[in-house]
Amino acid sequence: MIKRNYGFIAFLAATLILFIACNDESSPMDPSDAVNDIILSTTLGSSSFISTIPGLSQENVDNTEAIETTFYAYLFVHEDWLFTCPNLSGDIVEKYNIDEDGNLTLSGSMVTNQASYPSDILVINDTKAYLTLHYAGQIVEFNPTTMEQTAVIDLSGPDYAVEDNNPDPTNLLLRGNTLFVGLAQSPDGVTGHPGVHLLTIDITSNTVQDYIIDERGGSYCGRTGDQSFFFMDENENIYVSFVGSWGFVPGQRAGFLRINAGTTEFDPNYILYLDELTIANVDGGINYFNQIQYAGNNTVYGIANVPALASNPPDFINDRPGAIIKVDLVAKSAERIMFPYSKLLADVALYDNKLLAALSTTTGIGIYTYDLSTGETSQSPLVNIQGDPLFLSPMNR
Amino acid sequence: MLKNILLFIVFAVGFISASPSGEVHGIILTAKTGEPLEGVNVSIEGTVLGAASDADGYYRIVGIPAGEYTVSAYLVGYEESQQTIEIRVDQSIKLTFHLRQTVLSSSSVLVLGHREEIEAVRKQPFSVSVIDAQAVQARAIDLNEVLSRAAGVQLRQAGGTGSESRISIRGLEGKQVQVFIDGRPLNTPDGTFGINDIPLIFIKRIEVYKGIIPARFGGNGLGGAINVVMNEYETDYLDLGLSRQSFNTNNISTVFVKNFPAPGIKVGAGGWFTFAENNYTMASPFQPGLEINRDHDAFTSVVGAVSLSFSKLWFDEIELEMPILYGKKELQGVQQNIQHAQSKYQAYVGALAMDKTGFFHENLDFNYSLILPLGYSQMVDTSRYRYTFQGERFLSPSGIGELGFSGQNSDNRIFEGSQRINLNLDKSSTQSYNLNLSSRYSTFSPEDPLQNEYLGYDISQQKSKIVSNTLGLTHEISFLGGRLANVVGGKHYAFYSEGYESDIYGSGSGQPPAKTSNFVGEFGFNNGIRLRLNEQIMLKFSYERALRLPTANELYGDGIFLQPSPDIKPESSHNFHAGFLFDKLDSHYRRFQIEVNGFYMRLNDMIQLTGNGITNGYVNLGETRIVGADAEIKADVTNNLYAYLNATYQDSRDILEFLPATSVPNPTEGLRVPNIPWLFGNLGVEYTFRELFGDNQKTKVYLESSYVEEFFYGWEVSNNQNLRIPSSTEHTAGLEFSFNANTFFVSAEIKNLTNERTYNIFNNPLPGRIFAIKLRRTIFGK
Repeated sequence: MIKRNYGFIAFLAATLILFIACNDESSPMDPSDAVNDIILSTTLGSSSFISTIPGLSQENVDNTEAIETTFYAYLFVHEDWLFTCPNLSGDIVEKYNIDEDGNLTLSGSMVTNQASYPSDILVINDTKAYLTLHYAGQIVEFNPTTMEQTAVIDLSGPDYAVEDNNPDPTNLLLRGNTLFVGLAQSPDGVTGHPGVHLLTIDITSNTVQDYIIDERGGSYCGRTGDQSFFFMDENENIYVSFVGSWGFVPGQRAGFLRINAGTTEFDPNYILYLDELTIANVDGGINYFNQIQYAGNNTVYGIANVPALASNPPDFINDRPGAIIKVDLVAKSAERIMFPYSKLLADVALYDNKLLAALSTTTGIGIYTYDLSTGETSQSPLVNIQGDPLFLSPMNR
Repeated sequence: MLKNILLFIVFAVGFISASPSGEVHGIILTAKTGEPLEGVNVSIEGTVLGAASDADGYYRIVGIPAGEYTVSAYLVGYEESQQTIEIRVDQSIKLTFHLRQTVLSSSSVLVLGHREEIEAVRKQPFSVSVIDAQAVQARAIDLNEVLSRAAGVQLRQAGGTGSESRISIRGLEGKQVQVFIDGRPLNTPDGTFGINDIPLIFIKRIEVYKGIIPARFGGNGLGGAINVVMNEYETDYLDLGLSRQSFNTNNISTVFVKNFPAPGIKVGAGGWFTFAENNYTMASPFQPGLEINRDHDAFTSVVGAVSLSFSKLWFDEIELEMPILYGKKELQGVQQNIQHAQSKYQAYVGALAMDKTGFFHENLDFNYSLILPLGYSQMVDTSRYRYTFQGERFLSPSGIGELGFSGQNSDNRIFEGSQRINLNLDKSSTQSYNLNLSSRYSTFSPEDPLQNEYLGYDISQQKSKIVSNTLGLTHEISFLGGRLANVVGGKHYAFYSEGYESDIYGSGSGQPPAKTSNFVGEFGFNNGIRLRLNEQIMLKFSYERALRLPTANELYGDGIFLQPSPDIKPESSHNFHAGFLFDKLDSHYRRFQIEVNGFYMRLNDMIQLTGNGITNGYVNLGETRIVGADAEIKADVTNNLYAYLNATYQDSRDILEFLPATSVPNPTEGLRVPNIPWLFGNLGVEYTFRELFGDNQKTKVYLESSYVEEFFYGWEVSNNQNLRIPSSTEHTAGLEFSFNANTFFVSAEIKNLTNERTYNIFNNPLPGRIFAIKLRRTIFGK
């Protein structure tokens, strides 16, 4: 009798699976049919692993086919190209081609100055791209197809550096022929001199047009290794994120400044300080973003540090001070997306009308989702990953 | 010029003492086992003529005028033996001596000859390899190279002579391996002085404890330990050594000892000078196609010491010693070209050692040592320029300095006082107790005006202090006529430290971090059993619960990027070992040994560096299991041909089930712990020609090879794992001549014969082929 019941249950289950697989178009894809369309990087020990994964179709992904680099390789995606800097604070830039199936093939590399720390890449077109060298205080122009260096814009020296010889360039953003370059002005790689420092460069001549500083309490303009800290809205207003020395220096604050369309100066009437945001379910608020993603309509998502949850000195085992926050840049309002708290090693991305959050929480490490339409928020990973997340990006096709 | 003068002196001294006449030669053997005895003083009574037996027991005395003489053979711990001869001009007489062991009247402890000391250490119930440094003192090699030939041991070295190195024993590395000199922990907080700086002529033997550290040693570690036993000189002695090898690496060393038997006073002096340019060429591990000539890697080490000892006071011996040390190391860049930054140190040491057998009780032995080193270390990085490997110069991005975000011009003061009290009570002929107390008082006082400016406060306020006591009690007992022995030991570690708990969110405030302290009190335990099945076969079993206490750097960070972790616990491990030894000496005095060891270690609360993407700090993170085995065969194939072979397999695996403080499965559970060699081995053959080029001469040729299997730098999770330390095979060939009854040596060898490009630390290329030559002259004494 028992055996017969088990057989019946098995039959029902098989039928149900078959029915769902054949008829429900919203169901997960068969993993074997899915195309790898998300780039993921994780860290395990002293290495990072770069791989592509088939969307959210697999419950568990590992690094079996991943490319290994030393810890925290920066990644930059441009259409079918993936650029990596395999040695953090190193001197190599590698380019991978992404094929139709999401496979990565090494297709070129470029050597920069020794230990110059490539930190952001902006591709203008197939023959022209810019690369910031954070430790060398330079911007390199190169041909992204051939990976050959074509020019150097040297920012080192007293003209643009504060107290030392390096203005520590970070992010790049192009509007028209003007390249906006963030300057961290950091004496130690972590903290920055007061003020938000920015250069504008004319890319037709590769000459500096202007050096602008906003001294309203911020510091450390941009972030190395993350293109999203500078972005342009639908009206060509540029938003510049500054990280306020990552909370290390009292009085230095993090937030956003704006350069309005048609101008190359910071809007004196606009500044958004993160520590002034009132956020429900986040006691004490936030003090900086570690990763962000502009989602259109003046909305930014990011993983933010909640100081109330960060031990001093840090408790690297127990601390989970990272919260996913949605910010309205114009309304200057914010809300917490109710994922579990995470380590700050995390990333967010937009994919299929969802916000993906690669998080490291006490109950799961992987990709969580927030439905932009319904607000449905997962409480456990839809995709479990191997290692703490560093980078997550859908392929730009 | 200096080199030529020294060469002249060494050669001249060698030939002056070789005038022809009658001679006596022969071999010295133990009466009991017939083994050759090294270091026996053989003298012609009524003359100043004499010699000492070599490692094979051979001796030779030349230049004896015709006449009748009494020839005496004497070694501490043996009854003196005498034979009478009558010798004519140009006559050569062969005399063989068989010496019997003695027991000193004031103690039941046997005073053993050099070779038997080694055997005694080797036959401890613990897993231990003993390397006879005297057997390789004529070779142009350093201590690290000697250690790397031992089963279960790997040397992880970043470059040439004087470069950063760490010893790996059965998968334990760096701070997990404790280093002792004569049983006293070597504490050099900033790594200024390492045992590899000590030339081999000062070393008697090297004991490598694999898995269990005897409780009679102080200090702490997870089970691996190196104990360097320094030479003692019982007779008048003068020795000069000179070596030179590729990449302008030079060493000069000397020892002088003079005895005054009547008042029981001995004075000594010695020292060494080592300079290495290390200017080898390497392929950049970072930039494809870039060949780098290492032009900023020079290393200098100078040590001078004087000693005075008394042997006729109430104590059997009181020895005062005063070494002075100086070292300088240029910092070679691998990822970027460094042209000026360098580190230096100076140390002034006062040392006192006292021994007394029959210490208020006829069976109680007392040993005390006190070491008071005062050291200064400097890191000088003040260049306003940086350089590329192509020779371009540019302004330092940080304003000052080539290394990081700020310049450094430190002058740190380090005091490292330590004392050791050891009491050994022989309760009976089969039972003894040993009580050991090792104490340490250490202070660190930083000074750096550039860092003051950079950090915005005076770092000289950030003094740190360590006070520690390690108390060890050992009980040793033997049964069945010594066939079964058990050693049980316990240790208590008391460790107090003071440092600063920097407020990472308050930097730039101009305020120094707040002071904090940490105390650890923990127990360790070990037990070893030795069972001798017969004259040839011995079994060993041992267990230890070992501890490694966190260092000041791990507890308090560096005040800048390395955050303090004042609550981290000691690392601990459970170590099990089983060993099998077969040791046979045949009727022709040819030895055949097989040693096989198996081990299991479980490590908990491993202290690892981790971070949150912005800052780093140490945490108790890992749990690891190490299972492995090593085996070694040594054989005198003939009386002239010796061969050895050893192999080690050690499988170190992550066994943490869930990530700490989470319910998330650990993604590396069951994987091999990366960046640790897991399979390696050595083999060597050595052939000795006796008197190939004349009387009283010995020629040795040898070939050694070592192999290390490829291992990964990171966790092995990908099919495209490309960060790896490739497998390497290295061969060394050498030739050694000894003249004048082993008092004059000339040796030459080629290391890395095939010029293979090797690494044993990721991204740190090692030198290629090295040619080396060494001259050594023992002018008198043994």
